[in-house]
Amino acid sequence: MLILTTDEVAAARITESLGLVRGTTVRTRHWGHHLIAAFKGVVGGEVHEYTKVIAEAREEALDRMKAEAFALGADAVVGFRFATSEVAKNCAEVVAYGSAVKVVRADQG
Amino acid sequence: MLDRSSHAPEEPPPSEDELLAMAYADGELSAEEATNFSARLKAEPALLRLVAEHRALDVLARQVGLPEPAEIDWSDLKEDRTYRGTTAAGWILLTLSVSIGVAVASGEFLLDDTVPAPTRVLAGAGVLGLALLFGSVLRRRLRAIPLDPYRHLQR
Repeated sequence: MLILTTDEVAAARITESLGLVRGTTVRTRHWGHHLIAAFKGVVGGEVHEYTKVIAEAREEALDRMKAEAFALGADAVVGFRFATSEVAKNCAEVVAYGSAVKVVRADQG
Repeated sequence: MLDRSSHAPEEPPPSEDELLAMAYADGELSAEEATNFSARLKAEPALLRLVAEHRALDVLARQVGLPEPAEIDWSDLKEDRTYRGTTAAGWILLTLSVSIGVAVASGEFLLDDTVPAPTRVLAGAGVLGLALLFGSVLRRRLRAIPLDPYRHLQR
């Protein structure tokens, strides 16, 4: 399935809009990782513990959105975006959303 | 040039269940097939793990970036004896001091005759309740770890 940030699909024509699809998750890591991350906050540099949790949340939210699009029978998701916020301390909340559409190749009827 | 084909071990063809698990994970089953397969997943833990493994591979396959110099250096550091020794000792000392400290403080409070018995009973029930809640959350997480396809992601 194509996931695009653009509103159009190059070399294809949108034939039907199926509506909004989205996926959400909130993830965190165990207490030990937060402790190590706190020490890294003192000395500086990349905090791998949080890079990892953001990556996990990003992919999980994306998969949930794709599953919703699959269930609607979509060929692509256009206008795709990620949004993040913090619902609890040290938790990563990621929302993936876009518009599910059906498409045909531009050179087809 | 090396002829690798003559040394490559022959993999057995995937079983029907493996093919079904892959199709299920990829969302390629029809609605009826997916419903039937979902029912089997509830009864067959081995099948559930098969789907989880396929999903984990699929997620990892998206990570097309090459390792960065800092990541290579960081993984080397993780193998360093001094680093491993100091972090292991740190965790052991911290875990022991916290767990023994909580146990001793709880014991002293519960056995302290100067504190009214109802207060001690309530405090004991509270500590036990917290321990039970933590235990159930921990048990659930430990069971879910093998089924979490995102746990190998690094960035």
